[in-house]
Amino acid sequence: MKIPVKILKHICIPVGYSLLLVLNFSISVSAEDSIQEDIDRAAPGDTVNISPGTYEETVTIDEPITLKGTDVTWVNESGETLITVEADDVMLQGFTFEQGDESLEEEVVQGQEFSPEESDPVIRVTESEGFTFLDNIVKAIGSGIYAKNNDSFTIHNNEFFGSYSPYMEKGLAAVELYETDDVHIKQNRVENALDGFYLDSLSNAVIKGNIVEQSRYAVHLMYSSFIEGYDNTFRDNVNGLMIMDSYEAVFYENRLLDQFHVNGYGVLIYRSQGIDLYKNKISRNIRGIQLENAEDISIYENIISGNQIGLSWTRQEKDFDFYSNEMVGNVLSTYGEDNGNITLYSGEKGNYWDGYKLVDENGDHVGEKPYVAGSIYDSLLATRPEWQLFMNSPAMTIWTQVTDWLPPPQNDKVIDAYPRTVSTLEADNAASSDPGYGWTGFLLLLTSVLSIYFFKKEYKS
Amino acid sequence: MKKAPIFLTLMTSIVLGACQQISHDPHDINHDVDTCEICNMAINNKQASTQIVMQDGSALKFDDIGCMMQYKEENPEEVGDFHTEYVNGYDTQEWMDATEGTYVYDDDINTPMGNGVISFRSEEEAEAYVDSEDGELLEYDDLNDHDWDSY
Repeated sequence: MKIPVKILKHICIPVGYSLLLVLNFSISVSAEDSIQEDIDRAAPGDTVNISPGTYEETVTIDEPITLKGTDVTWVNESGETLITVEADDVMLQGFTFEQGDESLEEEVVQGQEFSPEESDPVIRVTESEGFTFLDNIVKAIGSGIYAKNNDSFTIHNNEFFGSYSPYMEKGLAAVELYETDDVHIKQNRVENALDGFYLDSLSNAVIKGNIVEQSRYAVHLMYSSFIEGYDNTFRDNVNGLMIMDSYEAVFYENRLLDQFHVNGYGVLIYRSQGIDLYKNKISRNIRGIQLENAEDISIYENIISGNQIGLSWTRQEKDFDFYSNEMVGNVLSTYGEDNGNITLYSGEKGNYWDGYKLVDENGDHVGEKPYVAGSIYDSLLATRPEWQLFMNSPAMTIWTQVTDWLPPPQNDKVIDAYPRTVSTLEADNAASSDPGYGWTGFLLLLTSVLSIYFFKKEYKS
Repeated sequence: MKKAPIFLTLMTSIVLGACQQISHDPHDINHDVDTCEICNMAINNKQASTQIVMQDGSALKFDDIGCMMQYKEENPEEVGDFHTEYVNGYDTQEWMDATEGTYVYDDDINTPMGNGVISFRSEEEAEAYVDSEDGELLEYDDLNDHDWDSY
């Protein structure tokens, strides 16, 4: 029996769609529908698919569902919260959120960090377990995500953009988390936020592979613990890492670059305990690392280069472990106040200081005399940075030489007793570059010889 | 006689210079460059910012009243050089003499360093805040005894 195609269409397509819906447990919403109505219709565990288009509504999710968008722009011009999450196991994926328009942005008053009139966050999550925010773009005048009292929180592969270019006048943190544990923040990009990731009173967070630029603080820890951060790039902010009143945090293999704001720090550790920094590249900041009132701090195997001041400390009563670091090209390697307990080595491990000129007599790559941090000229530079203009002048060269020969009495000398005389950077460069340079040189030489030979031959004939 | 104008100008300059008044008004906060004397955080929250104007007219700026109290505790030898302590009204966002303020403390009040203390111009305003949001009323003299590390 032959069934007409028309009938087939009428029967098969609806049946097929129904089957798909049942099998995938998903609901589709088009631009004409209300997203809230479909969220309300969804059963726990469903996926609500939002069709391409632009939507303007605010919704509350109070059961465990996945809300998925494809080419969906979700706007709110009055700066309200677009999605409030009050359920466990909610996932938001694939949306572009745009909050606020230009007239509203102008109403944002400087400094209203906790004002009752502050802009609402784009996404608000409270008392939820298992929240996931994946593959979204957020353009916000308030916080991107504000969350309090949650557990198991994942923010992955999103982009956050603050509304203003001068960071002080615009919105709040891209991700602002309070009392939220077991947090995973991975592969996100943030621009122009007050803070990239503000983590307050939480424990157990992994911050991996993110890029934060042109914001105030890339990562801002307050009263938090057990934080692991690696493979992040924090560039052109006021501070890369701002670690305050926190304990047990480890940051490694991050790039903290170009924090060249007048008060810029690659890393600032304030009143915190048990912080490890290793294998980071901390370059071209006003200050590379600043310690203040910090305890049980380990800083090792970092490249600290090209900063105005490489390492500095104030009100630092406790010593810290500082070893196997490469201190290269900093205008001032170190600057500290109240130096009573400070040393710049740990055990028998010291650092490489490009300002250390003494010869390694026994060939063990460790200098026989200690590296002494902070000359009188260094102290002058720390208080009057403009004096670096004279850094290579003949007068400064003579002065530096004289202070090397006849060291003036200094109180509270800070030393590295085991300064390394060979930089691992130089060794790495040499290992990776020598064969290349050799072959290039040989080819150039060969080309020159052949050119001369053929030129002469041509000339004679 | 030809030197008389020069002499008069010099004398006038000296007298005017000597009579110049040092201002003890609060300094403006420049959000781009000002940082807290204690914690080094940028000061970009006007409501919570405080400052101590010194006898010589200079100012020490803080992002949170807790930092100002910590500075006073750590530097008792400088107290004689303090002229006026200023705080910002939570509602008004205007500078006022800290000794004339009334304060509210609550764990849930979110200030930059988490000390949870905010300032009000009058006791009535502070009481109104406590009635609607909860909290504990403090006078200026209570601040010295307050447990700033309790957070």
